[in-house]
Amino acid sequence: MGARVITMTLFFIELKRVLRSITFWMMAVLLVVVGISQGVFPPEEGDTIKPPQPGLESYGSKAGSDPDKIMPEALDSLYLDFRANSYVAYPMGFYKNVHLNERERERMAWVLSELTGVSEAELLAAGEIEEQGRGVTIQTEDLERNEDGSFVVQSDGSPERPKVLENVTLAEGVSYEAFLALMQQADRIIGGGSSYSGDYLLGSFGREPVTYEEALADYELMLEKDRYTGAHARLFCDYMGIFLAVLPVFPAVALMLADKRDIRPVLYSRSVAAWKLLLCRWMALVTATLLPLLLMGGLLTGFHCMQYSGTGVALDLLAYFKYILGWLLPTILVSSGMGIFLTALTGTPAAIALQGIWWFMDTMGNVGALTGGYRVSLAPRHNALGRTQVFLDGFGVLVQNRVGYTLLALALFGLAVWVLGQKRRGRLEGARIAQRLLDLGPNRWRKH
Amino acid sequence: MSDAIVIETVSKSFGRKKALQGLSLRIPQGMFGLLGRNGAGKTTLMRTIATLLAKEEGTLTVCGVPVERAREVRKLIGYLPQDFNMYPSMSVYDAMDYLGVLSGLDGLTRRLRIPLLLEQVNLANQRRTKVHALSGGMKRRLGIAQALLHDPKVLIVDEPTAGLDPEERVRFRNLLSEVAQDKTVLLSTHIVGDIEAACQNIAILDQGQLLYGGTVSGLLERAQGAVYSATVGQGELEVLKDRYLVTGMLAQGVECIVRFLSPGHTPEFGEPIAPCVEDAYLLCLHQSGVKPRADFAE
Repeated sequence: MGARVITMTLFFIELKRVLRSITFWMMAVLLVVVGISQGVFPPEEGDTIKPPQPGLESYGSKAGSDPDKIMPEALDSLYLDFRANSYVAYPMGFYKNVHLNERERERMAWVLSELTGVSEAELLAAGEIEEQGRGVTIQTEDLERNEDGSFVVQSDGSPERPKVLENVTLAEGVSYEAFLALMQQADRIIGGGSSYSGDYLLGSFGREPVTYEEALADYELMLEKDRYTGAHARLFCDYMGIFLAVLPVFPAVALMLADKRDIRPVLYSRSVAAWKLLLCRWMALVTATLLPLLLMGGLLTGFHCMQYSGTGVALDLLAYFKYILGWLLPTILVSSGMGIFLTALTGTPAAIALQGIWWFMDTMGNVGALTGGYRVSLAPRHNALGRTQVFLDGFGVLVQNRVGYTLLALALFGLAVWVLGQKRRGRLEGARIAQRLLDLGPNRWRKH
Repeated sequence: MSDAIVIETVSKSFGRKKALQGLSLRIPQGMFGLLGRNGAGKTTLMRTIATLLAKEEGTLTVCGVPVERAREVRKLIGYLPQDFNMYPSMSVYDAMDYLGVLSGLDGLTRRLRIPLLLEQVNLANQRRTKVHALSGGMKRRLGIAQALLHDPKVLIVDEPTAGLDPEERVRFRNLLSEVAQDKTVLLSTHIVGDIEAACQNIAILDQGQLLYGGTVSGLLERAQGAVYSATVGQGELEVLKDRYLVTGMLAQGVECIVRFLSPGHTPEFGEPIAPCVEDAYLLCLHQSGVKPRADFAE
């Protein structure tokens, strides 16, 4: 009992230290700014859930699922890009205009040939013409000037211009699976991140309008399953998750770096167990990070109560809290755990750089799956108000993701405990300690 | 259970540098001084006892508990490192409270002990002062208070008086003597005066090896008849410095009163005098073959 009280006291002291740190307040302010700037704190006026009205011109669009629409659209786009030898891609999230070299063009011609049945030679020729330009070249030295200074250009109308293959169509017998595989190959030739890869392909081509019936079904799910606030909370978590994949590393690093070289011996020689000290610190960091989120969640719940007061909908008053703890907590555990582990190991702010790289790759790698990108991302995406069916369909994957990251966070914590245990016995930094303790520099003898 | 620290053939290296070489020593209850030059292995030994460094060979027990059982040993020891510091933005009281929690002290014990200790080290009026605002002497006193917080049986203090003014040094030394009544206090220093004033027992280390272990009076006894004093002119001074180990000089006009060591034979000038601990310490180094440092020999 006594030990538990002391552990709780340690937790509160660590929490007080975190709450008094400038890095925590910077993070908290940033989270609020993100909420405001992304229109989720409070939600924008347009983000009010209401039943769709019949007879509207549009109910939005959705990613295509009809191969008969996706395939020709994607093929046309790929062929146009091939002829211009100019492909737009976002590898690692950065815009890139890709020009293929000769060998890559030949490989791309093979892909197109497989898709269209047109010979590679013909496709390559069309590409070359496009690249050389199809106009008439006039050299000024061959021109004769008129008296008034003008030039007359005459054409004999001879049809010498090379014939260009303007359009291509899908060859007969190409299955959707084969098409997807060939498009994947095209994406690889481009270097990845093009609109011909996986999720991008389905999001870019063959998009279909949402029908009234579909809009109504989505609304009914929001009403029944989300009870409105669940849908809002998901969108809130979508934006917050992106930033929580990196921000908590800052207060974690600051807290651990406060154990400076001249403070460590006093701390390390106390009888507290390494796991207890680190657990209290970790939980203090996580609690402090959750505080502004839970506060925003509480305020938003109140806001929605007023927003939907006349609708008669029984709002889920705990939705924000459930989503914050279920969706965001594992992300916070990982990013703060990474901060604790790497700072304990290196004694430097290296965790910020590493977590920053991970965050960047994770965020940019998820650009193609803004809604329903649950599989491997540290910050699962659901960038839509509603689309509840997508959430329900991917719920199992999302649970696996969150459990997986929680386990990773626990592994990071375990490693941090081991590292601290070693450092308390002078291991893992022996060389540096030796240099300092043994005073290997020029010795001085002081006369007394 | 004995309150002694027992060290048997302990070795510790940092790369190629042997910091402790088969060191054996028994540190009984009371004030125990550890003397030696910079790099002699004093801090390594203290850190090894404080479980902050792992020894490579030998056995080391603190009050009968092997240092491998670090958690148990940490409950028995209070440690004041050479460069003591705490979080600068914490107040004196909060720093003590935090360290008390890390030592597993319950709320009541902390509430009772912290004011008492702050009173004892004369920091009661600074309880709300931030650590960064403390002077060097105050910080050192906070250091001793935190080391005593959990009432350890063994107190390890590493060069506690370095950098303090004479008044602070005497006060600090007296404070250590007070708390040493029922504890084993291991005090490392290269200020011989501290040892002379406060310790009954002493060990002299050099290059990780024990040069002397025993009582202060025993060390003084070894230096009996080996210390001389002579009044010489400037010309003779150079000759004297070449032939003997000079431990003190006092200039008086054109002459100089010189204190020097001549173990084993009577010098042609000078009178034998009673040795002080500093003489005895330097003689111990000299007899053990430790070469004086370049700037000393000049």
